[in-house]
Amino acid sequence: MTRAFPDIGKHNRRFFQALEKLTKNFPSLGILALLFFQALESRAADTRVWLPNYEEASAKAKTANRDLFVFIGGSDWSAASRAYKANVIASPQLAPALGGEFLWLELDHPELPTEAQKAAAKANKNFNVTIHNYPGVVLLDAEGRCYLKLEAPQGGVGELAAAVKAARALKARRDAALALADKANGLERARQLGAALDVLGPTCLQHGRQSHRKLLDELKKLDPNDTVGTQRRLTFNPDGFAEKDLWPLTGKKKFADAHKLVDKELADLRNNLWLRQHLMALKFFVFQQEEKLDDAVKQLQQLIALDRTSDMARQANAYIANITQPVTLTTNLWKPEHLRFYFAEWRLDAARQITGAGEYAIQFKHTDGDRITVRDVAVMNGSAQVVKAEMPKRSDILTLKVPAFAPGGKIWLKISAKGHGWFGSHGEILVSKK
Amino acid sequence: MKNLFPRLGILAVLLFQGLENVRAESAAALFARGDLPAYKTALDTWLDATERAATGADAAARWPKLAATPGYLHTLMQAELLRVTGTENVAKVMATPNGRAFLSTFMADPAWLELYLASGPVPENTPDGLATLRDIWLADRTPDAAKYHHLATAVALVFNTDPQKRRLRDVTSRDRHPLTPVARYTFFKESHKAGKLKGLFDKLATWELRWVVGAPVENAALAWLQEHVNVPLAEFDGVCWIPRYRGVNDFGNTVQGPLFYPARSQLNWAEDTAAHGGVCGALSTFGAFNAMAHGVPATTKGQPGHCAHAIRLAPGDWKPCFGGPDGGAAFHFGPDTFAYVWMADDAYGATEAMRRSMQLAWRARRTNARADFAAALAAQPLNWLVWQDYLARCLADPTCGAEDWKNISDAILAGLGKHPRPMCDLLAQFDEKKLWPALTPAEKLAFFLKVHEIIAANQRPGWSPWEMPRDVLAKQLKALGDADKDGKFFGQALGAYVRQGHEFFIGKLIDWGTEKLAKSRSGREQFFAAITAALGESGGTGDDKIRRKVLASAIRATEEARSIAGFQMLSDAAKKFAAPEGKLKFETPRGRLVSADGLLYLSGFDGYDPPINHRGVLTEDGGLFHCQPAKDDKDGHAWVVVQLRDECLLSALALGNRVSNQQRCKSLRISTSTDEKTWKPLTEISDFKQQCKLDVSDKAVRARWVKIENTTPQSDAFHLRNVCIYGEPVRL
Repeated sequence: MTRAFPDIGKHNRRFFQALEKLTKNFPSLGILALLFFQALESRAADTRVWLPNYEEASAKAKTANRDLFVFIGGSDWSAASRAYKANVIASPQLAPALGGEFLWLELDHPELPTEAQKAAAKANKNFNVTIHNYPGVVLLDAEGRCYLKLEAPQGGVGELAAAVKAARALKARRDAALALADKANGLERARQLGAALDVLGPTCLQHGRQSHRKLLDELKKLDPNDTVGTQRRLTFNPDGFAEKDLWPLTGKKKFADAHKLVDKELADLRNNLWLRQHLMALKFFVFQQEEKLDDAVKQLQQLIALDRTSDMARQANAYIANITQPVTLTTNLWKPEHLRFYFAEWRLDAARQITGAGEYAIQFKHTDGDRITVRDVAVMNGSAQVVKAEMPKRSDILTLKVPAFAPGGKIWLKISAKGHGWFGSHGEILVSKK
Repeated sequence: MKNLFPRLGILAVLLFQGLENVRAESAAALFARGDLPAYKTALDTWLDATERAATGADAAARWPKLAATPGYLHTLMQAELLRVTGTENVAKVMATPNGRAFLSTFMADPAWLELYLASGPVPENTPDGLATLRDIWLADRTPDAAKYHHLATAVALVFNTDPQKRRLRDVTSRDRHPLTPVARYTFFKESHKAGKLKGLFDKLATWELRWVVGAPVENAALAWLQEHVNVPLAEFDGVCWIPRYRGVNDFGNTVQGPLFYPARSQLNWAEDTAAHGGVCGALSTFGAFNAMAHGVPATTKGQPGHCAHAIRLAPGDWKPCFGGPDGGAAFHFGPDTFAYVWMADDAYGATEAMRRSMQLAWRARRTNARADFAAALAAQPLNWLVWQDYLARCLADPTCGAEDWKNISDAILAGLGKHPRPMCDLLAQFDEKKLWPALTPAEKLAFFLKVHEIIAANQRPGWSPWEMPRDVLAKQLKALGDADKDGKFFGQALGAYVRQGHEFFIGKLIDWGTEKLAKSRSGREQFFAAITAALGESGGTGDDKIRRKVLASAIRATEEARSIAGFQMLSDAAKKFAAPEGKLKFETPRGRLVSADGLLYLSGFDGYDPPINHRGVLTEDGGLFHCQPAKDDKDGHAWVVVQLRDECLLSALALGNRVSNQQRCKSLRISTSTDEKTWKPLTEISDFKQQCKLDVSDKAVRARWVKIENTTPQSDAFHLRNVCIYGEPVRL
C-alpha cells in the first residue's frame, strides 16, 4: 500500500498502513475512509498560500526566514507547464512531500498577457533566474540565493520531492559551513565560506542576481591569495588562460615557455578534476601548435583516462579520431565532412578508373566553398604502394605513371589532403587515362 | 432584339464550355500519352483561342473576362509550370517511377499549382523542384496530406532555389544521414501535429514558410531545440545566450581558425553549440534555428564584423536580436539585404493583389507584351520578380522610348516608394542609359531630389547596410555634371533628410560629403554652405535632436577638413547644446589662450565622443573629447591634435581630465609641429591624474599643431576635458 502512495509524507504513512488493513477487512468502509481522507487532504492543500509576486514573496521570506518555492510557467502557450501545474504543482500531496516550510510563488509568463498581468509583472522584475525550458521550479533560500533550478522537470510529485530533498541536503551542508563561518574570523572564516561554496559547485555563481556571488566576494577579501582554493575552482577561466597567456607564447613559437606555464598550472594542488582536464587540453594545444601530433594525442589519451565519461573525454576522442583516422570517400566527391586540419589520408576506391598500366591524370576539381590542399597521391594495390606522385605547386592536377601491377588486388587511391571546411568545401576527384 | 442578347450570352457560354471540353480532352490525352511538347502546344493553342475570344478595349478590360473563363487560370498555371520548369524537365520527372501519377495529381490541382508558382522564386529550368514535390507526395499518402501542401511546397521551393539551396548544400550532401527535403517536411508536419510549434505556424502561407523550413542544419538539431528550449515568444531574443560566448574552444583553439571545430563531431549542432559555445555567428544561428524549430520565421543577419539575427513575431514585425538592427538576411529568398525582406512581407502579405499580379504575370510571360507586364505590376507594384522580367523585356526592346522609360520610372517611384532600396536598385538597372539622357537638366535635378525625398520619407533607419550616398548621390552628381554646383545639390539632398529627421542618412551624407567635398578648398565652402542650409531646414522643423545630430556630424566634418572657420562657426551654432565638463582649477598660466580660436581633431572616433563639446576642450571652461586609436596606428595609441589658427610661440599648456576613469590616461606624450608632418617631442607625463600645467616659456617652442598622445598601456579610451595652449602668434 505504501508503494501505491509514494509521494505522501512520512507522517501519513502509518495512517495509510492502517487504512490498508481496514480496506482488506472491510472494503466499503475502507473506501469511504479513503475518500474522507482525500477530501480532508484536498481541503488541507487549499490552505497553501500563493504569494502574489516576487517583491512580496522575497520580503516575506527574509522576515520569516523561510525558503521560497517558485513555479514558473506559461499558461497560454506551454502545454507542458499546464500539465505539470495540474499534475504536480497543484497536487495536495506536494507540500507534505517536500517536507519543508516553503513560501509559495507562481510566476506566469504568458505570450499574450492581459494589461493586468503586465502591470502585475512589474513586481516580479527582480526575479531573474532564467528558465530556457518551461516550466521551471526554483528554490531560493531566505536570502534570495538560488539553490535549485529545474527546467522542464519530468515525473510526478515523487520525482520533484526527490530533487528538492537532494538540493536541501546540499543546502544543509552549505548552511552548516556558513554557521561555522559565522563563528570564525579571517582565514578560518574564509575556509568555511569556501567549504560552503564548494558544496554547491559552479552552479552557485549562476542564476543571475539570485546567486552566491556576495559570498565569493567576501571570500576574495578574506583570502586574497586563495589559499583555500575555492576561488580557483570556481573562477579559473581556461579560455582566458589560453588567450592571454598561451597564445602570445605559441604565436612567437616559445613552446618551452608555454609548456612550463601549463605545467605550473597543472601542478596546482587546488585543481579539481574539471580543471585538470581543461589544463591538459591546453597542454594538448601547445603540442598541437608545435605540430607534435604524437605527443598531442598522448596528452588527449591522458585526459580521457582521468574521466572517460566526461564531456572533455568525448571531445578529446573526437580530436583523436580527427587526427589519426583515415577518411574513406564513398564517391569521387569530397565534402566538408571529409576535411581534416592536418594532412589526412583519404581513401578512394579506384578499381574502375585505374585499370592497368599507363599514365593517369588525377584532378581535384574544386566546385564550391573553401579550397583544399593536396600534398600527394598514391595508387595502392591492397596494402602495397604501386606508385606515388606529389602535387605540383599551384596546380590541381597531377600525373601518375602507373606501372603494370599484379591483378586481383584492391586498387585504391591514397590521397594526402587537408582543408578545414569552415565555409564548406566541395569538389570532385576526376581520374582519366591519358 | 430584346431577347437576342441573353441568347448570345448563352451561346458564348456554350462556346467556352465547348472549348473547355476540347482543351480538357485533347490536352489530357496528350498528357496521358506523355507527349509533353504536344501537350504544351495544346495548352498554348487553347489559351490563345480563349484570349482572342475575350473582348475589351485593352488588356485591363479583357482580364476579368479571361480570369472568369472556366479553366483559363488553371490552364495558364499548367502552361507556366511547363515554361518555368522546361518541358523536357517535366518529362524527366514524368519518366521516373510514380512521376506520372504525381504529375497527374499535381497538374490537376489548381490550388497546389498556385502555391508552387506564386510563393516567390520557383526552381527554373530544372526537374528538381517537381522531383522534390513528387518525393514528398509519395512519402505522405495520409488523408491529411493535402492540408500540408503549403508545407510540402515551401520545402520544395527552399531546397531547390538559391540562395537557400546553396546554404543547405553542406547538410544535404553529407555521406551519412544527409538531410532530405522529405525528412524536413516530415519533421515539420509531425512537429505540428504533436503541438511542438508555436501557434503562429498555423497561419503561415507558403512564402512565409520559406523562412521556417530552410534551416541549414540536421533535423536532430531542430528536434533538440524543440525538446530543450521552450520559452514564450517574447523571450526568443534571449535564447541566443544559452550557448556561452567564447572565442576559444576547450582545447585552446581560436574560433577564428579551422581548429575550433574538430572536437564537435558527435552531438547534433544545437546540442554541441549549447554545450560548447561560440561567437556571434554560432549564437545568432542558435537563436534563429530555435525560432525556426518552433515554426517561427527567422533569419541570421550578417553585419560587418558581426552576425545578428531577426525573428518574425507577426507579419511585418521582425524583432532584431543580438545587435542590429542593420544586416543582410541569410535565409531570405531574395537579395541579401533586409530591405528585401520588408518588401517581400508587404508584397506577399497583400494576398489578393499578389495573386492577381502573378496571374497577370503568367499571361505576360506567355505573350511577352509590355502592356501585360505593366498590368501585372499595376496589380502589385512590389512584385520584384516581375519587375526583373519587365525591365529585361524593355531593355531588349528598341521601341521602348524616352516616354516609356519616364513612365516606368514614375511607376517605380510610385509603386516602390515605401521600399527605397529596391526602388533605387530597379532604377539603377536603366536610369543612366535610358532615363537620364532623356531628361532636361531641370527635370533631372527635380527627379533626383524627388528620389531623395522618397528615400528620406520612407527608408527605415538601420536594417539594411546601404551606402546610399555612394550608390545614389555620387552617380547623380556625376550626371548633373557641374562640379561648381555639387555643394548646392548636396545641400538640397541633405535638406530632404533633415526635414524628415532621418538621423541615419544625415550622418551618412555628412560623412560622405566630408570625404568627397570638404577636402578641396572650393568643395569645402560649398560643403559648409550646404550644412548651413541644412541647419536652416532643421531650424524649420524645430527639432533640436536633428539639429544636434547635424551639428555633431558637421563639426566632426570640419575637423576632418581642418577647417577652423567651419569648426568655430558650427561650434557657435551648437553652443546651446554644449555641456562644459569642468573648469581648470588653478591660476591661469601667462600668455594668451591661443587654442580657443583653433580646432582639434582626433585619432579615431567612438560612440562616446561628443563633437559639440570639442571646442570647450580648447578653453578653460572645458568640454570633452573621447576617442580611440586610429585603425592603422602601429603603436595603437589614441591622440588629439590641437590646430592653432596661426603658428605661435608657446608659453604654457594646461590639461584637465574627467573625474572618472582617469587611469585610462595616466601616461601622455606631447609633441609639436609646424607643418603637421614632422613632430618634435616636447615632454612626457607619466602620472597624469586630474589636471596639470606645463610651463614651456623657456623652451622657445614654435608650433601650429600640438599633439597629445595617450601612451598608457592597455588603455581602452582617451579623454580629456581641457587642452589649453597659451602663447603668442608669431608674425611670419
